Amino acid sequence: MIDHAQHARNFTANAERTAWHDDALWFVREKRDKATKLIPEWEELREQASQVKMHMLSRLDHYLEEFERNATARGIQVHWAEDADAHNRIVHAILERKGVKNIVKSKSMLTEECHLNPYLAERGMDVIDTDLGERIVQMRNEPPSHLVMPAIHIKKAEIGDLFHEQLGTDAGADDPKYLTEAARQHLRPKYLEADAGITGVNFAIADTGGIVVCTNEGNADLGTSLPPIQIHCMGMEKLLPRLEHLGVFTRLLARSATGQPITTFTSHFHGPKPGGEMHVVIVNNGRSAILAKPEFRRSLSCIRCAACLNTCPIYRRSGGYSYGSVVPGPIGSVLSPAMDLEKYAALPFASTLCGSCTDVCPVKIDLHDQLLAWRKYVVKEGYLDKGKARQMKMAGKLLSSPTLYRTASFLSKGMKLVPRVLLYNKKNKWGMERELPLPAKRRFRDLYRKRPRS
Amino acid sequence: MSRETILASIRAALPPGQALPELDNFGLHYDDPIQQFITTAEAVGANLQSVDNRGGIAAAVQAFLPGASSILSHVPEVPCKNFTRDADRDPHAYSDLDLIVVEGLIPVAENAAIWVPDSQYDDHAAMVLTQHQVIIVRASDLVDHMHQAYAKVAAAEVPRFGFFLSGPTKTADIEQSLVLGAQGTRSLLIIMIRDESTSTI
Ligand code: SF4
Repeated sequence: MIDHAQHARNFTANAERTAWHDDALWFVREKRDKATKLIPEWEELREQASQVKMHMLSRLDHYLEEFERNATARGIQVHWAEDADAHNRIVHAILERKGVKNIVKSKSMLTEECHLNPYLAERGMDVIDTDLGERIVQMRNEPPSHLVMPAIHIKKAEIGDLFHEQLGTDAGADDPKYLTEAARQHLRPKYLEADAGITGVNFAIADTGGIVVCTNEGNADLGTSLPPIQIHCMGMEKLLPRLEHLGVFTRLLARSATGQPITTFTSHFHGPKPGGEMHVVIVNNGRSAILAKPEFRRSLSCIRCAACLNTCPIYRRSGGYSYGSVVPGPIGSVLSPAMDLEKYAALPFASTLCGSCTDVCPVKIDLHDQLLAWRKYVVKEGYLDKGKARQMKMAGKLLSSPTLYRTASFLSKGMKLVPRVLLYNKKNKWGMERELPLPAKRRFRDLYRKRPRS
Repeated sequence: MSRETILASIRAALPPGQALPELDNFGLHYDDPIQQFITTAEAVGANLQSVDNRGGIAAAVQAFLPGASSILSHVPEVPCKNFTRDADRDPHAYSDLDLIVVEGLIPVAENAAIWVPDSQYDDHAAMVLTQHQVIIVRASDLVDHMHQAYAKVAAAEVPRFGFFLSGPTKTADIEQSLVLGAQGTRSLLIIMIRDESTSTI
């Protein structure tokens, strides 16, 4: 089981770094706020997006078939993968048939979820992640720690050292402009050498049979415009019914993600280049199981903008790796337990339930409600941490008995006088991570009793 | 096989039907869409040059990149340089291209994106491998927002490839510092033709 609290403790042990991480993400959250305030109809846009996605999910089989029909008519080869392993086998078979050695891949959380890179590497293929942030974490043999900014946890001096070691940049140089230029010089030849390009998919369009990929660096376009083979891997929930729906989603995505009005590239692929091959791999990997659960199916509307990560007080202060799952943050804590409840039982508790994630989500996923719903499942299935379970039981008794509650609340007036050791000790899990607020000088009960009556 | 398994598992899990909302463009309208486009284009790192008519294009390109070592032009006003238009060229050759000049079809005021489908250039690879880029748009083609833009895109035959481009390539992957010119275009000049009566398209 992933021990989020322990990982978070390790992360916060470095207070300076935690504050730096927290600030970096809050900065992005603020850029998002500024961008959304410029759009008076923002809330209506979110509502539209949410309804379009929920409609799509209610007819997912129909739209997948429509997409397949239209894509096939355009000469695109559509593949279906039941799980991660099937996905990897399909991609590998396409590449092997053509004797592919060198692959350039732009950002795709799905291929991370399926662990495609190691699968191909074990079979003698070389995959270069081309998004700069992804390339940085790949060079460090790490997974991404964030959906949109994979290297958000790494300082520029560390990237400078990494590039010095692996790319031969000047020792000690950490200017982002200089390092980005070095990455450009390192990556451009990779595109020229590549035998195949792989991308993720932001949106697939049922009524046109095409797919859309959004990037700022242009790396998805660079990776697909040169080699004869292009493969696009998508979770099956990425569909939109009609091309016009992109009007709604392209307005929401980048503003929510980084505060940009739109990504630099919004690229629409509707067929192979002359003499080339274009493949789309549609992946289930547990998504239909989520679809079957009424309280969690909305999570399939996610467009992976990461706004919920940037705003989350827990994510910002515990880092992406503390979740131990491919997708971190609030949306990860909702999606991962659906994959493996026992392994990810702690994640729904990695939240204050403040609801900020739900407020910023461009497709209105009820994230904090789903986190709470998962907690109930965790308890029901018996995966709750023993200490926490004991305390919850006590709290439950206390809160369900008015007499007990009144007594406790009366006593809590004296809580200030309780020696700290009683509250903040090893047995009290709750106290280990929290400071108790001072009890109010006057209890609500007393105020209510003494209220003026007319 | 997988296909049938997946579709069956979806059908067993489908939520109750939910209506598709009507397309809506929220009546959004900018009082001065040209100014909105210009301000936003500059904010996303593009250069912008307004010209009265197509007669101003050549000078604007020249002023933008006087020392261009090679130019692949898709407009009659600008000659190619050290490159000729050749639809059958091996796309790898475009890695040496310094400047590409194309027409954009739908400029969007809200985000300075421009719809550039593959009817406007010989090879997608040239558009992304080039070091610098000029996109020519007409003020009279401006739309306010993406809803209008996609209505226009959907009204025509969908191209094999097409993109909305907004500014030069960029990244902020190193400590959130914005760097223009990530892996593709280092800089972008948008030439906006103000007088629609002289248009040739
Ligand atoms: S859950 Fe919502 S806010 Fe979070 S990544 Fe997905 S779309 Fe963005």
